[in-house]
Amino acid sequence: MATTLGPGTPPAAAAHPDDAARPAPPEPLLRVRDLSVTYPSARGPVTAVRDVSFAVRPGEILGLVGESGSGKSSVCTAVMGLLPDGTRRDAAEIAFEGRDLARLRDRDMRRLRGRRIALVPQQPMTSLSPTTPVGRQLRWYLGGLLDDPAVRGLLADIGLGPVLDRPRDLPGAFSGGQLQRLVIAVAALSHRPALLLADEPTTTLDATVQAQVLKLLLTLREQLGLAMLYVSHDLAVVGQICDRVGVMYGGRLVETAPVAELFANPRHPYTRALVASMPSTTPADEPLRPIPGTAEGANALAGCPFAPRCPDVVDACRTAMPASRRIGAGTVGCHTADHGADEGEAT
Amino acid sequence: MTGIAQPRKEQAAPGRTPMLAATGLRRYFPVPRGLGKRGPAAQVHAVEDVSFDVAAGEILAVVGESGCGKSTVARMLAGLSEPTGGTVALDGRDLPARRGAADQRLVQLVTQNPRAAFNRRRGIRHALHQPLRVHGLAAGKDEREKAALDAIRRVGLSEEHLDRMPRDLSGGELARLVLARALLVGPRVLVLDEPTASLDASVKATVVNLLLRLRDELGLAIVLITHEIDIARRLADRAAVMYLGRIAEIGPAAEVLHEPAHPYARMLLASVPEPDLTRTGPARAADTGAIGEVPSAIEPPPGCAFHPRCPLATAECAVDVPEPRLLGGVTVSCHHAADNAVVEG
Repeated sequence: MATTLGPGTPPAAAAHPDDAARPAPPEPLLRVRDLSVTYPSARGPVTAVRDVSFAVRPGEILGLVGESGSGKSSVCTAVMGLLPDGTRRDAAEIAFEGRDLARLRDRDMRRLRGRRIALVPQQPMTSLSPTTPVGRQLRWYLGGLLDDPAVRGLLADIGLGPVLDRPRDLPGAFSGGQLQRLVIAVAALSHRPALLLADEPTTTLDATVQAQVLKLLLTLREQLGLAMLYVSHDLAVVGQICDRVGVMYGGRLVETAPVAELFANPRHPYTRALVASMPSTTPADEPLRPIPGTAEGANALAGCPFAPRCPDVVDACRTAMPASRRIGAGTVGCHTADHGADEGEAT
Repeated sequence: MTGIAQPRKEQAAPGRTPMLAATGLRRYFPVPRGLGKRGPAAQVHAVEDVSFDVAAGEILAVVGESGCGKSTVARMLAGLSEPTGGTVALDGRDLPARRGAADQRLVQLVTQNPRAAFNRRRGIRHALHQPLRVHGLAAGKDEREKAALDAIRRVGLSEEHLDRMPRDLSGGELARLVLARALLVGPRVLVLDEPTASLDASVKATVVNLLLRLRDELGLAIVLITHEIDIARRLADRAAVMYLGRIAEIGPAAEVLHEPAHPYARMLLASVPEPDLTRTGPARAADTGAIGEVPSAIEPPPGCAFHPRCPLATAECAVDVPEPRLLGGVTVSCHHAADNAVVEG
């Protein structure tokens, strides 16, 4: 059903990727304010996401990192409007292309989904029909675009040659990497969405295949001007492909910063501890420094979720969640991080 | 370097007695035939002629992508899978293919998912007493309790964990408890299959530091199976890179995991994501040169299994399986690794 796009539509003349680096940031494509998500459970409601605010600019890749249970996937699902029944989603605003998704009727949201906002799930196998040949599934999603030599060329370029050559094979005959690329291609090409939500798209892939998929995502961004929300538990992956990173802990977004700044000068105590515990950011002659304690129960705390494990904790941390403050090019939600003078050139 | 020898198996360096030695290990699995199909069953060549040794107090990392056979090697070392060919020797003594309990005890395997490694309905105390009972290592309950306490303290946990149920413990605590349980029976060799894969970033560091301490305290020979290169770099003294059932390159970790000679090892290391801290503009993908995916182990490519993806491949590579050659301190199975090393200076 390629009704919105005829065959031969020229490659989208969308935002140039350099936009993200320009001094005057353009109007955000997606702006989320005070998003909270609460799941029902046998032991009462569980708040997985609490008062999360962020913005994604056109052509920008915003990474969302956190450990398991930090709420990063819930943010993704909430923006997409795909939370399971019985889940509460509260938001002051989820502004996307001039509309507030938080107030949109289901049927209007359905029209947006897959067309303006597309999701790349973690398991590609679960979003393809296992009993339908891949050629026919590609035809479902891409329609007449599949006859466009430019589109076929792009598909071949991103390593989907085998899929085009064996259209009658079932998804099971292809590798996880090929299927993941197929799903990404469908999400990005079928309706040329403005925003791609990628929920751990490379977590199940091997290193050499992951490198190819990351390259594919960046190629698509350059060619189509796609903006992305990239959710991952892997700070190293996020550091490689994102422009800005949001760090989540216990359902809160504790810090956002441009990638280079996040690693060079992490502000929030959790981000600092996380960077210090990572092998790829710790010099080989220094020992890794694990974060003491666990993240368990952090979601339920009234104050800062990191307070029980934080080395810089003060009394205020236990009672109230600090408001997000602008520091440098990022934002930090912490009572103690970097007050005043020592901004910027600390290292 | 022209000092090219052709060792059948990797020679132990002088002054280093191998605690564990694997020689010519093979493992084939039959593939179920489709209904009505005739002829001999196809076989997956999961492991093909793998040899290495590990000294006491040394950590050998075996890295590679899924399907390269690294977990099958782990199971053969631990005696859980019978090799199709080849032997595993402990302290100079070949272990029989079907191991008795006494030999089983000396090589302990720690598997990937710590949560699946405990009986969900029994407490941690039971989990730690059981191996002592099975191997008859402690006379009476008090002695078992004492041994369990020692083990649990050694991994940095406390007495109160003995009374907990697995569901009440975090992934990091369980990961340390599986180690404690493996150490209880006094093994000489520890085989760790992806010990940190299921853990969150902040917890990984705890396990890495613990493993380094245990190696130094107990003088164990440790085989670390992992796909996480950064973890392997932290832990390993020596490292082996596997591809489609064979060892592509083996030698000191400082070389194999940093400046490898084998083209596959290079591609693998280049693919490991590392944050680019000097970047100011929008992200660009690093060109890792990675193309294609690991082919099927049922019909591995002839000659060098890596040749269809290899930038250096020539006609020779499609025909002859490369013999392992000693290049500097590293054993490399590649027809062109030597030329490559010269180019790189």
